[in-house]
Amino acid sequence: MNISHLSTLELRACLQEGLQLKLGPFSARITSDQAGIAQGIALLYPDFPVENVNDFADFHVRLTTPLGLRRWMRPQINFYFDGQRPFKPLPLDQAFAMMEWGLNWCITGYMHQYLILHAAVLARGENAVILPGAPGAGKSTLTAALSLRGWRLLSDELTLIDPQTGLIHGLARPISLKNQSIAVMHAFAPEAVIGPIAHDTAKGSVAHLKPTNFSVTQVAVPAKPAWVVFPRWKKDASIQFNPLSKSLAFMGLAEQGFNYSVHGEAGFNILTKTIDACDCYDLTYSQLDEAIDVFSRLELAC
Amino acid sequence: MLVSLSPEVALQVWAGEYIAYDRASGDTRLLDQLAASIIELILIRPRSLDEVQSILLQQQTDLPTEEWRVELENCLANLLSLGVIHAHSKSSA
Repeated sequence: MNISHLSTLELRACLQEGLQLKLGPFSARITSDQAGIAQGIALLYPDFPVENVNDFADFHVRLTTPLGLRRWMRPQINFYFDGQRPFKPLPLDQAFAMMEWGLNWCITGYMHQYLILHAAVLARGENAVILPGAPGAGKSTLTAALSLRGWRLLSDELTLIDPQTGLIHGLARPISLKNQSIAVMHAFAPEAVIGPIAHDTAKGSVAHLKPTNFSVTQVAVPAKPAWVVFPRWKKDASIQFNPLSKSLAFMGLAEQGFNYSVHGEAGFNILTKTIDACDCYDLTYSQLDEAIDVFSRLELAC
Repeated sequence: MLVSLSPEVALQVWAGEYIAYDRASGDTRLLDQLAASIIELILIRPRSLDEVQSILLQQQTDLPTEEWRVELENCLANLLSLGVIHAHSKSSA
């Protein structure tokens, strides 16, 4: 059963008891009495499988409003993980964004069976392209655009590398768009489903883009690393796409490792194999269509 | 005294560029060109610092000898202090 099979009332009832959502290789049990959480899940996770609530869950998270005045005056939302509250509360209109950030936090903090990089990852066929990027580099915008032009989304934030196989596993969760990129994606793909905008978050204005059905239904299929591209959006820049040395690409990826140090020498070896398997590039762009053409050529050259 | 690659260090080289991973500290470093030249020499066999300096001084032509010697000494000192290379007696080589 998928989320889309549940009516609004059924979804809210499930969330009251605990909705067990399959997120790629993980299961999250999400409990919330908040309409914003239910609406966000209904809009942005419709193709995701719902598991039996008695199945094993990797994370137990709960999003609720605080007791007392904060329930009514400038209401807030709290995120609980295994009964603990790792973050300060946020304004209630940021509830869905908080769920997304909290789930990222759960994965990066606890799922050390994977080497986890702060990088987007997409695939064409069996080949994956890893897109590391500093905040503001245009990584999520480019990821969203590629996913809407036929590339399979594995993740816009977290690259999960299996140390045993070297393959990359996907999550295909909604893509977090920030500030100007929200309007950019509306213009780029008017048919795309983008959730409500949460304003004045720590990252500015944030909205989430629904992943393509193709990405979600194929999420269990891992991809092999084939390219590493460091994107950088620069206003009015002409497109530049240049080979990058493997050693610089390695250091760039290691810097983006959430748990690179946790893996010790194994992490070094995993990353070495990943880079060995990839062609590496720097990309500077200002126009999404030009950047997408570059990726199309990559795919053809493979 | 000879210097050789520290046993705590794992190396990866791509196109002459070396990355060193230190098992003891967990640090990962991209070595610059001079450090890479030193590593390449001592990977062949452990060498004395004098021998390393002598070989590399013969190879360089760009900088005045004294300037180059200072740069080389600094690089060797850095590699020693970071634990990428270590000094030892011939018997323990």
